Amino acid sequence: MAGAPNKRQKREEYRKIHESLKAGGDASAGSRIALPKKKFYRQRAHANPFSDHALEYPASPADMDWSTHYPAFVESKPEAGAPCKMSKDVEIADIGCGFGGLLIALSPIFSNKLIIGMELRFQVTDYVVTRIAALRAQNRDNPQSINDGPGLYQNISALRTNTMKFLPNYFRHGQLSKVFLCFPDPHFKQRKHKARIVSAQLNAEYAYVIRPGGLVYTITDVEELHQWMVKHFDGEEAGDARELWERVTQEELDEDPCVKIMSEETEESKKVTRNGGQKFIAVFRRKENPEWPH
Amino acid sequence: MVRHPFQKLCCIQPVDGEQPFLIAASGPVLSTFDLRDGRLLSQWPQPGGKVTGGNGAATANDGEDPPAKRRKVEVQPPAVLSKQTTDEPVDITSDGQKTERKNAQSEASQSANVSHIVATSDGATVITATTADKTIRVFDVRPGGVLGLQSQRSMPKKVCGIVLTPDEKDILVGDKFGDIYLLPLHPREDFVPKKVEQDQPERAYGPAASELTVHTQGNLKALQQQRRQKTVPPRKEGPNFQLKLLLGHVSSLTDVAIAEVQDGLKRKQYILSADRDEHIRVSRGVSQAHIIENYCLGHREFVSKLCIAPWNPEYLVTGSAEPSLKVYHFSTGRLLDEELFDAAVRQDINSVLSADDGERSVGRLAVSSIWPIHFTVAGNAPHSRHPPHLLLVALEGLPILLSYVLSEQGQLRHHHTLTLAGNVLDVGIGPALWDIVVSIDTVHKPGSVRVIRPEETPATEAFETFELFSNISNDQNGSSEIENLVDGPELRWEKTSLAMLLNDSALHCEIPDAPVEQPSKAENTYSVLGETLYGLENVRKKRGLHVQEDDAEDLGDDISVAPHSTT
Repeated sequence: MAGAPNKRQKREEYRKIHESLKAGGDASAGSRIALPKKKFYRQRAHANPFSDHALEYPASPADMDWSTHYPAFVESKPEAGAPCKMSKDVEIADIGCGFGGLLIALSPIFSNKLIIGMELRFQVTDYVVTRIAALRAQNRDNPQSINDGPGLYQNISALRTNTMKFLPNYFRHGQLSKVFLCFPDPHFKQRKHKARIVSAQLNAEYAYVIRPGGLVYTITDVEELHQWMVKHFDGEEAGDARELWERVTQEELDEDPCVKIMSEETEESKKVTRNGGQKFIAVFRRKENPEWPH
Repeated sequence: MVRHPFQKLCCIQPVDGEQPFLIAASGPVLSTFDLRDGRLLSQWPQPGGKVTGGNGAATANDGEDPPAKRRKVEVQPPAVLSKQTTDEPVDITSDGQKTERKNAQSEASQSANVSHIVATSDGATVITATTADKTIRVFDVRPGGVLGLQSQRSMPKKVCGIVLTPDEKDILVGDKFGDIYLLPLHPREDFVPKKVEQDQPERAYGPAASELTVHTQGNLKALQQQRRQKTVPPRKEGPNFQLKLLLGHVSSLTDVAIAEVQDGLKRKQYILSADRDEHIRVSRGVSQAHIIENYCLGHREFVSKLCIAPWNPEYLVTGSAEPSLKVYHFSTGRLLDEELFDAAVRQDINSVLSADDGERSVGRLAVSSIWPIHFTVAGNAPHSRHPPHLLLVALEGLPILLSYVLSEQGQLRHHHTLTLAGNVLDVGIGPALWDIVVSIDTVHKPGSVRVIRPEETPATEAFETFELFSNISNDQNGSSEIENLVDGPELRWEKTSLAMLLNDSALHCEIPDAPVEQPSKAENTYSVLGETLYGLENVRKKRGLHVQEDDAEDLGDDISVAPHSTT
C-alpha cells in the first residue's frame, strides 16, 4: 500500500502529541487543548460484527470499571477485587456512536445521566475518547461547569466493543432508559442480514437491557432498512417479541428533544442533509414483560 | 484399516418391558447392543444397504436412505463455494485460518458422522443429528432394539445442540449460526412450506440503496450495475418442514438445555443457551423464548457444555475451555461454586496428558461433557432411597473421567478419578441402569488428539463399563446417611464385566473405517479423525493473534469513508 507508511507515521506523531495533552490535561492548559482532527482517525466504514477482533470486555456488568470513563461520578475507591463504586449507572447508550456527535449534543440535555457511546471501530472510538477529553478540558473553567456540579461533558464517554455480542457484559437487566441506533450499517445483501443491528434475535437483548418505558431510537437514510427495523420491532418479523415493544407516535416524537438531536447533530445526519437525502425515524417503547405462562 | 471408534452413545430403557439396550454411533452407523448380554441387536443402516422393514413409515423425505447423504458436501466443497453467488448467510464462526480449517473439515468429514443422540423418556423415539449433512433424523424403537427411520430433516446450519421440550412433543435445535429453532418431534404431514415470493405482490426488483446512500465512486458504479440488471436474483427457498426461530445469539452456539423449575404454584420453563463468547443466556420457555430473564456470566473462555442437575433443576453446571466447571443458580445468575481443576485433579490430568502433544497443557483443555448420575447405588446398598448426586466430567481427549459429588447447596467435590485405556468419547447412562458404558478412542494414543497409536489396539477396548459401589448399609436413617456418604470414601466406581460382552459383539459387527490419516502438520491441533471426534479447540478464540487483523482494518481507509456500500 503506497503512501501508507507516511500516513501511519503522521498519524502516530499526531496521536502522541494528543496522548501527552490528555495526560497533562489536568494542568492549566485548559482551554488551549484543541479538538482532535478527524483525518487522523479515519477508518473503513464497516467492521465485521462476527469476527473476534481484539476486544476487551468485562466478564459481567459487575466487573466493569466505569471510573475511568466518568471520573467525576466516582463515589468510592475500589475495594479488593471490585471496581470503583459509581454514584450513577450508565443509562443511555449510543450503539454505533461513530464520531460522537450525538453524545456531545445529548450531554448538556441529560447532565445528570451517564451516556456511553459504543463503537466497534478502533480508530473511531479513539477519536471520540480524545474529543471528549479535549472538550472536558476546554470547559473546565466554563461557568456552567462550576455551577452545575460535575462539569460539562463529564457524563459522556465512549468505548470500543461489539454490542451485538457483548451488550449483556456491560449492562444489567433493565439498566438502560434510552438506546440510540443511528444510521446503522444497512447490510444490503440478504445473506448479511444477520449482521444488521436490528433483528428478531437482537431485539430480545435490547429488551433485556432496556427497562419498561425505555426507548429505542432508530434513524436511517435507507428506506428499506427503516422498514426492516419497524418490521422487526413492531411487525410480523418480530415474532412473539412484538409484545415487548410499541411504536411511539409522531406527536410524542415531535416533543422529544432527542429526536431533533438525532436527526440534526450526528455526523451521518449532517452528511445526509448535505447530500439532500431522506431521514427515516422510528422510536419504540419497551413494554412490561407479560406474565409467565400457566 | 482402522475401525472408526464409537463416538456417541445413548442408553435406551423402553417402558414397555423390552430389554434396555445401548445405541452406539460409529461414524454414520448406529449399532444397538443388548445391555444384559452385550449382544449386537441391529444396525442402521443395515449392513449391505438392505432397507429395514420401514413399511411406509417414511415421510416427505422418502424414507430409509442410508445416511450416505454426503451429496451436498461432495457437490459443493466449501472451498469452491463462492460466497458472492450464494444466498447463504455469512459464516459467524471465528475468522482467521477459516479457509484452512474448512479444507481440513471437508477432507475429514466425508461422511455424516452422528454428533448427537437423544431419546424420549419412554425409550420409544430416538433423535440423531449428523454433522456433514446437518440432518436431524427421528427413529422409532421397535422390538428387539431395531431402529426404524421416521423422518429426516436437513437444517440450514450445523447442529450444536438438541433437546426435547418437557412435553416431548417438540425439539429445540441450536445451530452454529447462533439460532435456536423449535421443530415438532415428528414433522407434520400437512405442512406447506411458506412461499416467500408468491405471498407478496409482484414487486419490481431494485437495489435498496440509492445515489443518496452511496458515497464512493466504486459503490456508485456498483449501484448502476445493479440497476441495469433485469433479472431478479433467486431467493433462497425456506426449508420444506416446519421450524420456528425461537431466539438467537450473534455467536456460535455451543450447547442448549431446557429446565423446568417449580416456583410456587407455577412450573416455570427456561431455555438455556451457551455460546462461544462465554455467555449463558437464560430465556423463558418455548412460548416466551423472546424474554431473556438473565445471563450467567463469569466464564473467560467459551462455554462448552450445559448440564441441568435432574435432581435439582435450579442448578446449572457448566463446563468451559479455561477449563473450569461452574455451578449457577441460573434463575438469579448466582455463582454457587466453581472447579478450576487444580490441586489433586490437576495432577490426575497432567499424569495422563500425552507428551507427544507438546502444545497441550491443562490450560489448553476444554470440558467436553458433563453427565449427571443419580441412580441407586449398587454393591452393598442397592436400595438406597437417597441416591448420591454425582456428575461425571470429561475433558476433551483425555483417558480419564472425573467424578464429582454435587451437594444440596450446589457445591462440587471431586471424589474419584476413573482412568481408562484410551480417551473418553462418550458415556451412556440409562435412567434405571446400574452400569455406565464408556466409549473409548481406540485410534489415538491416550491423552493425545493428534498422535495415532503405534499399532492397532484390539477393538475389544471400544467400551469400558463401570458400576457405582458403596459400603454403606441399607438406608434407614434418612438424610444423615447421605452426609456420611458424601464425606466418606466409600463411594467408588468399579469396572464391570459387561464391557467384555459388548466389546466382543463390537468386534464382530460391521462398522466403518476411520478416515485415512495423513502425516499431520505440526500446527494442526488434531489428526484427521481427531477433527471429527474432538474439535473443541477449533472453537477457542485465537487471543493475541488479532493485532494484525485490526491493523489491516485500520489502514484500509485510504479511500474516502463511505457510510454504506451497495455491493
